[in-house]
Amino acid sequence: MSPANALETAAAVRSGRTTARASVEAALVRVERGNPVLNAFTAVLAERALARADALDARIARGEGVGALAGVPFAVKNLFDIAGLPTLAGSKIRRTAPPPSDDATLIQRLEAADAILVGALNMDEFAYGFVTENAHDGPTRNPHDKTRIAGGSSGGSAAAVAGGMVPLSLGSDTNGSIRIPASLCGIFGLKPTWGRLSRQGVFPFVESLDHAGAFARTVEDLALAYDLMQGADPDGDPACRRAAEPVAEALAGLADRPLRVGVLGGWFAQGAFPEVLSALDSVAEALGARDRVILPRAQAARAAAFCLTPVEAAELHLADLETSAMDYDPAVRDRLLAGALLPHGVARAAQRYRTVFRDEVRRAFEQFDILLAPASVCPAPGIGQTTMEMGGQPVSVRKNLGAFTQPISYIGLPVLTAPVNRTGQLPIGVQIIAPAWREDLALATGLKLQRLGVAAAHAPPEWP
Amino acid sequence: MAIDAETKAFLDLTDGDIAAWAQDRAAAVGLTLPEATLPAVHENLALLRIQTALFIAALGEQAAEPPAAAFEP
Repeated sequence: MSPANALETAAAVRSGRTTARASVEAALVRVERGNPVLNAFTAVLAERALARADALDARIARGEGVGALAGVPFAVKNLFDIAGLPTLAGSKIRRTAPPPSDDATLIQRLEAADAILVGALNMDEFAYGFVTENAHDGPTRNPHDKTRIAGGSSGGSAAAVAGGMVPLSLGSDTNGSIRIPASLCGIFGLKPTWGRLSRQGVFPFVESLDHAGAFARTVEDLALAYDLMQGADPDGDPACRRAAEPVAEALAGLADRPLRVGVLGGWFAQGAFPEVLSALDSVAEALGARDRVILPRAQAARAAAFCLTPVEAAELHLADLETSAMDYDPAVRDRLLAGALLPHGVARAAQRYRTVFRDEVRRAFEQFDILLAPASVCPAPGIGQTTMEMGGQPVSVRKNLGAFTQPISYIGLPVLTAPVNRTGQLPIGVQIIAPAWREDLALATGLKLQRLGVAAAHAPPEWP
Repeated sequence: MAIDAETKAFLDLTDGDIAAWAQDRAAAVGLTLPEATLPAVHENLALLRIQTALFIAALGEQAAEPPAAAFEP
């Protein structure tokens, strides 16, 4: 039987058809069964989760009101602060770091709505990668084909949801780290506008590009969680200054309205596997999108994001690279070391180009409400596969899976990754890109596709 | 192109120059490059040089202008 989604679980807990304890216990059983295979969780918080579940059940028994996510188990990428647990960020060197005394803001906000945190999730070290083949914690496996990667860097977050262990998870996205694993694992992933969701208590990778976001198996679950996490947090995250603009209630109506949808071509089609382009075409057809949109600066924007990333990340790691370089994942270390050597002018120019590319995309949005693009270049590569073919050339998987996601996060636009309904085949997702601060448009488009049966998060061959 | 001298020097490197340039830069920033990392670091630098050239060329004269104080999406 498929595990319940978040809305179904919360409704059942609120109505007394089940208890929060039963919901959490079921999730813990699924983790116990599924995780030895998928390796999505790096920590399971059974004691904490059951204590919160019992407290919630006691409130329900007393007739008290409860939150919109009552009894919904969720888990977070292990770069989110969890009180009492070292924030690993996928690393070895932080295993002895002092544990934080408080949970990250987004965990607090979900728990304020009575969701229940059950664990921490695997990731690429320091979020630098698209594969979640972690040198210290091992690879996370794709629930749809366990010989393949889940994508990264939020690979544990995607696999935990796609594998049915939890209905909701949190991740982060700097260059594609929510959108790539959502695509490869066949679930919905939301990377909101840069600055929309607080990153307080989220271990930084590249602060000027880092976003926090979420994964779920339905648009409705994702929209509700997104609403509950919104709201300014300027003391915790100076970039997070915008008041909440809830979207969940309005989505159904918005999804009924016609939207002007364009399809990104040019850079966003170069090197994509045929099945990726075919999946994109099916989504475009369902939305009546016939216009191709070319962003001539997209390749340079991707290059700027590619270079800004190691420079800014290396600044954060300089002291640790000097003392403990050999304790890093080699694939991450060598990119950080290279970044540490780049002249500051590279980062300044990369930052300068952001506004140039942003303005080009703003002009495109004068004609369209939504732009579509592939999420990943290809379906999930195999575990251990280091190269793939792109445009007839062998290229690094780690460095190129996000070729189509990097230009968009570079300018901070909101993107919903939606899983294309391809029963019995490896998952492929599309990016539904909206203008800044218009997550509602991206989510409404996702809801429309879900209603049409064009987007769907399929159960993997085996639920735990 | 109106870019600073350090960035121009980086862009002007050939693949054969990268190893020596990396050692000089590491000394300048106070970083030790472990021997075992050198081939991969050099490979990454070569790729970063190609990518940097792409957006610097796209920026043209604007490459020397400072970025906005705070980016707005």
